[in-house]
Amino acid sequence: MIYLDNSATTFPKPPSVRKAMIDAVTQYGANPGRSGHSMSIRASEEIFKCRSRAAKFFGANSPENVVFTLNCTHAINIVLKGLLHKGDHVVVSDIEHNAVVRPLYALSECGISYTVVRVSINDSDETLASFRSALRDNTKLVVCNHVSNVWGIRLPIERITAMCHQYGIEVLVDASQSAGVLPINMTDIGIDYLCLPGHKGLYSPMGVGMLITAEGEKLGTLIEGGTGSNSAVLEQPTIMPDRFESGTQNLPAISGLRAGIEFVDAITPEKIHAHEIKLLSNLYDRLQENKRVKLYTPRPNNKISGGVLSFNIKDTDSETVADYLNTRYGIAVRAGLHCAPLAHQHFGTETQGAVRVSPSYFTTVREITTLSQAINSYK
Amino acid sequence: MESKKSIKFNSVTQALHAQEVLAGKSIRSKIVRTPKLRSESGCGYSLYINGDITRAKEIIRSSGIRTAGD
Repeated sequence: MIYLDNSATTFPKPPSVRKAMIDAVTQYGANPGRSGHSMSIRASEEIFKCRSRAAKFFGANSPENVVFTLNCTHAINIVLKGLLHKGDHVVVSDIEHNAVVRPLYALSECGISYTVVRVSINDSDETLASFRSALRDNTKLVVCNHVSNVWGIRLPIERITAMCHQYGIEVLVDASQSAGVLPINMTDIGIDYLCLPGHKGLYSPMGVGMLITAEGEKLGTLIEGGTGSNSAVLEQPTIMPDRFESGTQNLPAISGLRAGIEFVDAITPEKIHAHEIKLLSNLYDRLQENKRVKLYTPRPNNKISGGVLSFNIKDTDSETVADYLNTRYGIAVRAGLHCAPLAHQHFGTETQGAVRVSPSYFTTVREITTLSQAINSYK
Repeated sequence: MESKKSIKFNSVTQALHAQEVLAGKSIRSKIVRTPKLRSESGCGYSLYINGDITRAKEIIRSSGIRTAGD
């Protein structure tokens, strides 16, 4: 199989990630942060190593600011439901994933309002103006996708964050498609809430994500329960990260996450990004020659693009094209709406969907060449 | 082990963070569950310090790591 669905989850995972998970299960599989015996302490140390690694990688002030979640969606829900109250207003971009839009839609039934702003593909001044024009006196939070999971559009989060902070508004960045691909330093950029999955650009297993924030103690909780700390007190701890880590942590996945972060850090996000952009611009050039192929974004480049490119073939349903690629050529891509209907509304592809190509560090030029030949062979 | 040579924390994360910081200053420590008799809130972790505990406490405090009771 030629696997080009890395925006869904990266495959394969590096050998170091697989080893870390196996070691966690076979060598120190005790419950971390609960008991005092050697294996439990060892497991706790492994969790902390990942926390510490993640804090350094993303420029967080402290390992305590790193909360392990089920996935990015879970992290986003913690912030939205913990921060917002009746009467609050939120501004989001029109390329957000349902991980943002669905909880906001649910919260709108509780008196929280939100405004969707149109972003520009390659004019950050225009994007910034859109966000600014939507701000109100009661705007509490701005949520923006760092890189669109459908179109690869990259938003100017540094400028958006700086602008929001001028008005005293906090910013949540959904780094689902950018963590591990674009350098992110929370402290430098000033991100208040960074939400990300482990299993995409960090080459880690499914089942773990992160919320990284210095503002955790003021958020309400989604889940309360045992934390291995202050058990005699019935109130959920306020200290981070315990406040949001009730129940047993996913030690094998977190061990894998630690190895995944180390893998990406050793190569560097810049090199990974450059590799993916090179592949996608190669693909773009080949597809542009085919008059039947519809491309919606400019030729990928380092400044405006993440590692995602979507297309259509005339008016053919995107799922039909994806099935053709899978069945005839063993090529894995994702079609449809990608859990991001707003992003499809941006380009008018709500009915047709789009075929999404998302390479990884392991994708080769040959695989992209095969893909372009397969697409061009579709009748 | 003596309680005078130990520092209590409310969570294992804080204790491990403190251990990491102290190791960076060449102060060795051992992490254990806080003995129940000395615990007011039921659960926590302590660091037994192999060295100058006053210096250790100052290093932890200046690193912004909270100890139990903070």
